[in-house]
Amino acid sequence: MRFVNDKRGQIRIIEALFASLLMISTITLVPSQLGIEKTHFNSYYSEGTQVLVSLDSNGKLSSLIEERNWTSLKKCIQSVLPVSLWFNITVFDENLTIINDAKISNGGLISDEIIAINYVCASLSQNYAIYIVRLQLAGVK
Amino acid sequence: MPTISIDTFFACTLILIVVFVSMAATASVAAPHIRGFQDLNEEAYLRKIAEYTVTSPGSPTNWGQIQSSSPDVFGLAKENSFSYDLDVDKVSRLSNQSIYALTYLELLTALRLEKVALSYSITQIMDITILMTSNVTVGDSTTYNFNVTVSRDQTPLATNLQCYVVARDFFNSTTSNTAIDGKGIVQTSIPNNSNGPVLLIVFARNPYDSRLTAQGSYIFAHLSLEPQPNNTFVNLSPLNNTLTITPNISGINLESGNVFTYGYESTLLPTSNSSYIVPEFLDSSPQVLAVTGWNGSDFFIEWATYPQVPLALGADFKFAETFSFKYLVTIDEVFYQLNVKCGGPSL
Repeated sequence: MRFVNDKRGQIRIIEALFASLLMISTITLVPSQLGIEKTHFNSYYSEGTQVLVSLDSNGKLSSLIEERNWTSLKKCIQSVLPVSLWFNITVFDENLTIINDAKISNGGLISDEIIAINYVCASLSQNYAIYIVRLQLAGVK
Repeated sequence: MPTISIDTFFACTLILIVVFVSMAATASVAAPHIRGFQDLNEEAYLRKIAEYTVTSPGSPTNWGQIQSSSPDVFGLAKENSFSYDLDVDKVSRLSNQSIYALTYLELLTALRLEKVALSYSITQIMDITILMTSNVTVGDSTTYNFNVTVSRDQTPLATNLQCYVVARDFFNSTTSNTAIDGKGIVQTSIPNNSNGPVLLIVFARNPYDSRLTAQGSYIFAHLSLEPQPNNTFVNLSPLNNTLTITPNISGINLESGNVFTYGYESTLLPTSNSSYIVPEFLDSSPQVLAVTGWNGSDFFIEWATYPQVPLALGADFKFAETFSFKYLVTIDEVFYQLNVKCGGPSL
């Protein structure tokens, strides 16, 4: 009877249960597997930057913009980027006004993960115009 | 035993069990996350190493031209260069076709890295496939037809073609193009008295940017036995605008040497019995160096490209996990694809 009536230890059990709940709840703080999936940001950014820098190394990029030759610009980018990548280019002037009146892209978007690279290039002609080229890239996951 | 002691014992046991279960669960859930961060750190570290070797000229800065020594510090960039511009001689020294090629041990020593393995491969930006489709002999000449296919990553490309034909006492050049399906036809006629091996060199150039130029070579028999594979008779090692020829068979007599680019061709000027001066061209094009000669009564043609691309040097990662970094580089104003593979200590 004394064993049944003595209820002083029950608080310890309740305490232990609360402690258990607290510890188990910490698991929910760990990010899920989906959250740690690697993105392609580094590789796409590196690839896109290299393409723009390489194309502009002899002033080709700025001269195509100067000539407003969007078809050639698209073909040049298309020739050096991997075939598996989607791209879209927007060209701004120094006032951030879009100057390409035609779409410079290789088709429809193939992924939600899009990265954007902003590249500043200067015209080699006498007007020394500054252009900002925004290259957006996406690839198949 | 008082009841409170039993209760406390059960409570402590329960809390310990929960602690262990929680630790195990947390560890198993967090482990991939932690491993992912390690991979990211390792990738960033190896990327920096690869980037450094591509953008640094190394030491001495002209190590590619110094035939007799290996670099103190490895780097492939051209001296005072900008934007992933590689040195033609440094690249050529990675080719195992060259007598001046670096060994993997020399490469690792110059990289000054421990526990990191690397491999470099450089390929042309476009692939050219040449296939002979027919030949017809009419009168004192034979007409050959070839299908030329130009592609990039299996995607066909429309290009302009410049072709050269080198045979015994005969030289010809012709132009053509590939359509949007990447296919083109090249036709050439060769006099029957120039029988022997014939070398067809095809340059393909993207019409929108001259730096997108690639070359392909095809050797075939013209009214003779099948020609021997390239490098059977001599080894060609271009470096520092000098072509060094090393006979692989004794009794070789060299006849002439020529250099071809997309827009130009020229005869090579001999400096000795075993070397020629390679002229510099302002053309954005790979160079093909062709040498003709005699092995007894057999006529031969051997060739090499300058830079000696495609090439591959480094560790064999066939069954290993690696990080692969691709770069679009220029060598003498021509685009190439460089692939650097790195394997770190924890991979």
